[in-house]
Amino acid sequence: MKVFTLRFRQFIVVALLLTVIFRYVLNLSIGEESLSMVILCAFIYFCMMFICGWYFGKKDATENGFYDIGFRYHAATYVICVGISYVAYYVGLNTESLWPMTITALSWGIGLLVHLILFLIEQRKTIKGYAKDEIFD
Amino acid sequence: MVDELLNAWEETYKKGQLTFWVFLALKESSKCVEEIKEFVEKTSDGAMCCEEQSLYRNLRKFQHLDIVSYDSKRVSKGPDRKYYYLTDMGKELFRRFVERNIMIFTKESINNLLIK
Repeated sequence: MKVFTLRFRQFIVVALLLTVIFRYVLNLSIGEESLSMVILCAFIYFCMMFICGWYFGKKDATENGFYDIGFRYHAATYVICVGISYVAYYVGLNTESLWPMTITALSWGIGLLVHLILFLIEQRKTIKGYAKDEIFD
Repeated sequence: MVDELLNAWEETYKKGQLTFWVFLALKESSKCVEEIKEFVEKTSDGAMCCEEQSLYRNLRKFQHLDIVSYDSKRVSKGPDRKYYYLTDMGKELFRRFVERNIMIFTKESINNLLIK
């Protein structure tokens, strides 16, 4: 399976951009001690990321037809979100404290691990990333 | 009633048939997408028709699976055109598919039943 398809690369770029913007706005909101702003920007960020994944994932599936049960997109989202939150913390931006950040990373990581196991199981039904029953559709 | 049933049967029957016709087109010679489409529609007497978009999608998939490959050729106007051909694995796959699923219809006993 070609992992870094055009749509997947586009998703990574947009997700990176959204996450950096989110972290910047979050930094300002925490600085101003505005809980409503924190909740609002987190909600908007969640919605934007969801739409972004949905849009590029759907395009990717239509154009390439790889059967990966969304694992690539999930893994990329995890790396971007968790990675940038730690970067934001260590460069001194206002973020959540380290402990909740780590708890989130670990619990989400367990979810990602379960997704990985399901992905590996499903890969048995594929040839080079294509679902066997869809290759000659 | 028979027409309706025939249409329903044909709709199911034709699913998955496109690959056969595409491979047949490429077995004859390497072709670009427009030529494949023309071959499929002409050779099947119009029974099979296909969208260029779906041909591109399938050919890209077959290419990733090393069944099909292409050569780029210059054309006088516009971008280079891709001429698709069956790889050795594609030829082997098609040969074995035909042997197991198509040649059976050339058996005399079955042929006699078909034209009876």
